[in-house]
Amino acid sequence: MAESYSDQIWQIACDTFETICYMFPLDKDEANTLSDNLADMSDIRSAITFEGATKGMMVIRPSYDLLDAIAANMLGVDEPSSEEKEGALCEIANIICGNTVPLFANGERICYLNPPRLLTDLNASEVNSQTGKKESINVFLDEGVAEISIYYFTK
Amino acid sequence: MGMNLLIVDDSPVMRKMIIRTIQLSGLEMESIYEAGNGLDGLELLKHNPIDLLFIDVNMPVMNGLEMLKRVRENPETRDLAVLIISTESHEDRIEMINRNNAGFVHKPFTPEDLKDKILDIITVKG
Repeated sequence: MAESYSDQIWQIACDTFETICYMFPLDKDEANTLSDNLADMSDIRSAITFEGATKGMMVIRPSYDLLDAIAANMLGVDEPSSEEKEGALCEIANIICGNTVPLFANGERICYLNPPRLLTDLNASEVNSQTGKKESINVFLDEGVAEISIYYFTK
Repeated sequence: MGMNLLIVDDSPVMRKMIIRTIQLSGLEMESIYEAGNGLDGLELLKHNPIDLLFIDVNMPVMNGLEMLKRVRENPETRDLAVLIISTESHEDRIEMINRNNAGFVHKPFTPEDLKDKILDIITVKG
C-alpha cells in the first residue's frame, strides 16, 4: 500500500532532524502518551511559500524546548542566541519544505522555494487565510515536538 | 595543511552549520571566508587564495547560479573547485551545475556526505 502524504512528510522531517540536529523520533507508543500535551508550544513559527509545479505554504512550529535544541545541536553551541534559534528554525523549515514539495508536484521536481520567514502572532492570520489541501503532522522527539502544516494546490 | 574555503550563503546559520559539518568530518581548514550573496562572494574571491567555494542557490542581490557562471567566465577562477548546496534538485538546475563543472550537495547532509563530495571535487580539480 502506498504511504500517505502524512507518513512521507513525517519521514522527511525525521530524516532532517536526525541528519542535521542529531535528534531521533520517539516511537509511536511514547508519542501517543505525549500527543495530548502540546501546551508548551513556542509562539515562533517559520513559514515558507513555494510555487511551480505545485504552490502553497509550509509552517513549522516547535515547542520551546525543541526551538532551543534545534539551534544548539545544529550549531554546536550551549546557549544559542535568539537570532541563532530563529535562523536554525528557518533552515529546518527550508530543508523539510524543499524535500516535501516534490511529493505534491506529480513527480515534477520544478518547484521554487521562497526564503523562509518568521511568523509571529501578528502575522499568523496569514496561515488561517490559506486555502487548498492541507496536511498536518506532529513530530515527537526526545527534545520536544514540532507541528508541521502544509497547505498546497496541485495542478 | 588545510584548505582555504569561501562559503557564500545568505543564512548566517547555514554558514555556521557548513563550517561545523566540515569540522565534524575531520577535514582540515586553514582559513574560512564568508559572504551573504554572490556579489560579495566574487569580491572576496578577487582578493583571497580560495581552494574550495561553497555556493547556495537562492540568495538576494546575486543568486548562486549567476555567481557560478561568473566564476567560470573569469580566467583566474574558472578551474576553482565549487560545490553548490541546495534543497532543490530540479533537473534543469543540476544540468546547469554539471555544465559549469561544479559538484552538488543536497540538503540535508551528514559530515560523511560532505566529506565525500569535497574529496570528489578536490580530486577532480587535483
